[in-house]
Amino acid sequence: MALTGRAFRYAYENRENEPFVFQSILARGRVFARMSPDDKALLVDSLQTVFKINCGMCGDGANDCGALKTASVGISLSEAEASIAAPFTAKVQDISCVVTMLKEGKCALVTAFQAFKFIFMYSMIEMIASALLYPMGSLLADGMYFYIDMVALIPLSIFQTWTGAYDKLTKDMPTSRLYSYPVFLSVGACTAI
Amino acid sequence: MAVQLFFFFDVRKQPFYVPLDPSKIDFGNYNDTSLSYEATAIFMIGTFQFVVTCVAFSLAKPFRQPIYRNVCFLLGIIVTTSCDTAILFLPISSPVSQWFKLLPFVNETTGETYYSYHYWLALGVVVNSILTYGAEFVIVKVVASKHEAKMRRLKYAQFREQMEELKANQ
Repeated sequence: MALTGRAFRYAYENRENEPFVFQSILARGRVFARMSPDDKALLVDSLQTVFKINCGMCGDGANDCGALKTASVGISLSEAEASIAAPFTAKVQDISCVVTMLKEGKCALVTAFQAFKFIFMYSMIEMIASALLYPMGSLLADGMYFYIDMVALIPLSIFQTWTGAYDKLTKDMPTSRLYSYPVFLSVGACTAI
Repeated sequence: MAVQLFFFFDVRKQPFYVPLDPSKIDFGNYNDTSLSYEATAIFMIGTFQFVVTCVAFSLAKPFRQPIYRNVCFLLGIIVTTSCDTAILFLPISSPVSQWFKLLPFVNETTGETYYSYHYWLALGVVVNSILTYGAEFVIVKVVASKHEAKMRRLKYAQFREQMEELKANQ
């Protein structure tokens, strides 16, 4: 579906009376031509509120500022001053940056969860050891604690986050929330073992 | 927890085991009377558990590069594993083990050394590693990806339903 800015504006203003038409435009629309800066921002905002999704927006030039700011992921394609409104700025002037963005984003999310899970497991391992020993009046020696914290923890916890993003963009999605049951299951299973 | 618990009780059955003297226990204060065979065994197991959980959590093939592309991390794993192995297999009389205040696997009355217990602990480490890695592999590859796919299907179904409803009301 392709439509002009005026048609979109008309559908937007009548969205209360004709919600099906408006939502069909949002779902099926591929080309939106001759959009004013306000229309662009309205389109991004409608997509986000109606479908409850995160919407990305790529744009160059000052008339994209509003939409770039409204979008969850705004990528500015120019180095102009107007591009400050966007959270991300691409130096390459084409939309290949979107693929990089998705790859890096997925990698960053997975890495953050991994770091969280590892720090949690580190404290669980040490806590279980101390909890077993303490009731019988025994403790880990100072040297043991020193070794665990300095040799085992510091290099691993720093360097594990240095892994780069995968070369190809895949359809798979990483676990998107920290308080989801795969994360709890994985941490729980490792604690039990 | 299971592996640590197992060795906590297993070390008590060994012929070299000497329990702590209850009259000398000073709760919460660290001194030489807090050294126990349980602490020795749990420390040897626990050091490996850090590396194993770290490696297990690093598997995320479709999103990140494999571990061997991250040279620093790989070196970190190798160094830590080597140190852990040294602690596990060096005879307790060595200076390293003395510094960690590990207790010798020696029966004090007969003077017999039970070096085989080091191998038994190593077997425990191997079993622990396989279990941790296997569990994490299953959870990440099967449970998590299925969960994510289900969430996306639900969202899409919700959207379809919303559209059908609107169409019917037209």
